Amino acid sequence: MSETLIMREHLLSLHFRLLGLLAGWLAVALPAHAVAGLHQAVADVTPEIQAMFRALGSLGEVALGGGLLVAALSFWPHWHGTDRPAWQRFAAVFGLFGAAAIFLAGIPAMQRATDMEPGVHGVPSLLLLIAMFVLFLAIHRKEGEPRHVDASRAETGFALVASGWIAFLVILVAVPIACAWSLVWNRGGSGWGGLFGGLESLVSARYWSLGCLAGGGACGSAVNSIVLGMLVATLAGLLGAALALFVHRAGSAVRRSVAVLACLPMITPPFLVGFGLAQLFGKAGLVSLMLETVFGVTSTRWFFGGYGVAMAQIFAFFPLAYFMALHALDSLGRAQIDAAKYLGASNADVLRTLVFPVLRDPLAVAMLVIFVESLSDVGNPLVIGGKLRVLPAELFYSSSSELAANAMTGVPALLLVVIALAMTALKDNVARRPAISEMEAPSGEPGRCDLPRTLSWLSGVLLVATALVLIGVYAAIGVGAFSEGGKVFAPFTLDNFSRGFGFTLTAGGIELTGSAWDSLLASLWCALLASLAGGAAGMLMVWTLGKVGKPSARFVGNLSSYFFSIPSVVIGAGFMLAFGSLGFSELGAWFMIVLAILIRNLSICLRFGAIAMSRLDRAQIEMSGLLGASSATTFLRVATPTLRPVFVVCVAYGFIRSMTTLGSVLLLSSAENQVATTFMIDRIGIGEFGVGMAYGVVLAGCIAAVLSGGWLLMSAHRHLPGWGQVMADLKAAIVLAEKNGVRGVAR
Amino acid sequence: MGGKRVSRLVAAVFLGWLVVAGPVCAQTRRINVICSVQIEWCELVKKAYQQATGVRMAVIHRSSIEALALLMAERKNPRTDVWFGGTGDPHLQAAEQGLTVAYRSRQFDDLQPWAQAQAKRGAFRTVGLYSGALGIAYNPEQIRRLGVEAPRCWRDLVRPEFERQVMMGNPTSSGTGYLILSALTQLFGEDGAFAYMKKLHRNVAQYTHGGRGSIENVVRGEASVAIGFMHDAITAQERGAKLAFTLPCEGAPAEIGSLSLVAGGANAVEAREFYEWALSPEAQTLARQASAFQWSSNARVSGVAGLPTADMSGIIEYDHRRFGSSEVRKRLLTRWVNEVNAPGNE
Repeated sequence: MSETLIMREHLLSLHFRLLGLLAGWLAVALPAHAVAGLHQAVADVTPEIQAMFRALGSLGEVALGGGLLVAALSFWPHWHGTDRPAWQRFAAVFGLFGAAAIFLAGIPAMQRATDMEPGVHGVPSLLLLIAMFVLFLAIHRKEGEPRHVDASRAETGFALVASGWIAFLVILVAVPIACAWSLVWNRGGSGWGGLFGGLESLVSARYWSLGCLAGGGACGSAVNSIVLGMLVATLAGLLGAALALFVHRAGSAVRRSVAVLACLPMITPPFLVGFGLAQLFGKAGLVSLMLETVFGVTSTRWFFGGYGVAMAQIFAFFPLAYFMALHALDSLGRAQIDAAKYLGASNADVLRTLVFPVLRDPLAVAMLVIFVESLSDVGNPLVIGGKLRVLPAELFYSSSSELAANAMTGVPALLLVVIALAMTALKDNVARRPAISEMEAPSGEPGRCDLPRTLSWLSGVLLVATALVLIGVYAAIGVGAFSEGGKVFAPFTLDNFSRGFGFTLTAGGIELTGSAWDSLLASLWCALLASLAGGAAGMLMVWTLGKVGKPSARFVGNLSSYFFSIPSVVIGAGFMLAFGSLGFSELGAWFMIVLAILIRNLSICLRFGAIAMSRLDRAQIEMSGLLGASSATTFLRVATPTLRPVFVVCVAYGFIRSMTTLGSVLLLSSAENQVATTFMIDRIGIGEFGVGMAYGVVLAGCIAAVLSGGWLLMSAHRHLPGWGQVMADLKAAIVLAEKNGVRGVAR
Repeated sequence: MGGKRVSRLVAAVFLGWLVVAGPVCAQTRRINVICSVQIEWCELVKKAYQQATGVRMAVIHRSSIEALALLMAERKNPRTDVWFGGTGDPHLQAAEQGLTVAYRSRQFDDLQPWAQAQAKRGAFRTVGLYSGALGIAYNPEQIRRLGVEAPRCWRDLVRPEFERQVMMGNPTSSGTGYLILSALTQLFGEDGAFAYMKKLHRNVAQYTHGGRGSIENVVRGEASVAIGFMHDAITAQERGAKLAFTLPCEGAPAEIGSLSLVAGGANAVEAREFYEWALSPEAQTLARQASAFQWSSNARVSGVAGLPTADMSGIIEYDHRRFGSSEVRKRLLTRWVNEVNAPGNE
């Protein structure tokens, strides 16, 4: 098949997927409004929350009805030729979503109800159980095979795990988003009035104004977010590619030091990069002051606003593009380049016809991932955003004030979700195209392509500039941590550390007097738990999907990939909306935080699970069974040694991501549950710059310490690795995690 | 071989410490506090109170509006026992919604009249803890470089020379920000205030996440003028920052930082003990160690040299009752979000 044909097919499928998203949304939205009009009877404590739950209830009824309808359609005789089980799975998920929504909507009634009213508790719970059972049946059934009564027990177990997984995702991701969704529409008005009001607020100028382009006013926050995302994705992608082109040809010393530099933004929260940049380029920043004293350039406030946020995000997210591009370049065969050269191709020709095609797809994937990262980054707009309005910041401000139960929370959340889903559909499409580098036979020797002189110069200059800026950023933070008030030229002090991480030695042991200890320990705990659970869940799910049959596996994989592309800040806000009103105990609140972090990591865990499984040697496992080993022994003696390295890398990468995440936990933290990032942004927000910087240093130290501790215990080498080794592993982890997205799982 | 074993041992000990360090901290008597004053003060209160009583205290720092949102979210199962500090209106609002419980302190008669008035307004569900005035803080050096006169009045801040030079708290997330909004409403009437805020928006460089962040940014030189509290400015001056403060000529409102007991908290006894401690002269004198230069609510706290006296000439009596109500708050905030901080107004 020619490439254009493949392209056309992909584009078509992309259109279908986007249209499907839209159609599904409308299919639930419109009838839900008709039903919502009927739910006007109750009015209680807070009308907004009440309206939200009412809307959620009507949403659930409509979704459940829709599910039943789809299920009935699949039994219709005329539909004989089509893919019936796929429709049944679709119907089951719809039904599960509906049942979960009804269950959640019933909770206020349940809290009021006495034990004597069984219907209030019973009916929603029963609905939920039935929906889960239907889902289980739909997944259990394999296509093309008649259903056996005596299906083996092992497969039943796997189908149960798979349906449980889908239920987990639907309840924890889809229902919270439905809560945000219902906030947009039902503001206490009647069904149809709410619909028009909702539509109005979805397209309001607050989000979509183009004032900054047309002149006369600023742009809306959605426009800002999209433009910022596109700018950051493009520039970070280009920067990463340019650096990779340069480093690719350079010696191992350059390669290693650039890898170290590029890894720094990955082990610190993104807003710390922005904060560090502000120390350099802010009005009172080092670079601005230098320019002013040396060249007499008056320093301005250009940094605080769109430019600063864009710059911070570029430096925080370019390593992804860099590693992906470097990986693609390294996979380029030498034979091809040599042949091209022999046939008289110039350096520029080689670049145009060989290198760029290889770079294209990985870079596109990296750019789309960066776009979504930029879209959900709430830290940088809060710290250095000036008056820039972007969607995540609007979501944060409106959920932390009284406007919370309002369309002002719902609309940014919904817009974020829609944009992120569209980007994921696009990314999946790119990732599914056959990679060109995979089509050729791998050659032992890596190819080295020389660059045309101008490009070589340009990328060299870019490399030096990037290195200087990154060194400057981390130096400013490192020095600021030991200076009074976080200023670089202030006198040396340990005050920042003693305030945050002070301790006294008493007779009873060490007493931790610093204010940051609680959040640091909590963060370590949550990150360890989330990354271990995520790693285990990833392995388990991929193993399970291998056993439930290909169509079901593909279905589960695709569904998961869409769920996981929801921006983390929306997950946090959705959790607060959906479960906050239940009133959690302290332990429950921690549970929510760990869950939010876990959900953010699961996509990567699935990807790692797929890699781990692909490495298992089936023959070995079968042989072990034949020789009489029990399955536990087989797992311990045969599977574990193969799985361990991948598991370790997965947990390590998950740990780093968990320690540095802000969006998913910002709205969930409370009196006894602060984590490191929320504590830091709190301090920076009130002008405690020094303590924030000291925390950054300690956080990086902690991540390094835990990673090397884990390494010593788990890795095959059992010695502290050199920097090169660590970086190589991290690079491999990043490339593996992001290359194909979750879709690789189902293959 | 030996090296391997040692390094494994080190790693095991480290991970073991992580495992043990969490649970070990648990003690019997504990109290959870939301703290809405400066972070140093919060930390000092925590340290001093833990040392004095042995009660383990968990402190979370939240701006007063975030704190109120938290209490509302936790209504069914409160995880907090005491709300320490923060502007008075959110406290009154919490009282109005029954999020806090009525309690009359044993030291009630020792308190300043404004602190007692706050308690009466909130039906004893809250009480005044400290008071501070709102005004204009500026960096004289920056003002000189801008070549303009130092701001004296609210109306000076909307002059075109101050374009992108003013910082203030974001009213939706910071109590100070809301106080500015409501005080201007009280001074100029609602429409007048919004006309002013719209003009001011052009001069604002950033609405900071917490109110005090704006003053710290002016200290660093990122902006020239901040709207904020006098005591925050004095704190910065004490540290040696070049910062001037003025009470606006049209009038400046004063906040009444408050203290409330959360309804349904798990540690009610400890909470009441802490409440009494927080109102005692000793605890209130302590605030100055943390460079918190608010006027104390306990009348037995002696004035300290260098602390400005409560000169009430430029101070307007801020209408707590009106601006503390949910309805007004919601209307003002919605209006601010839709009219002032909106794409059409830039």
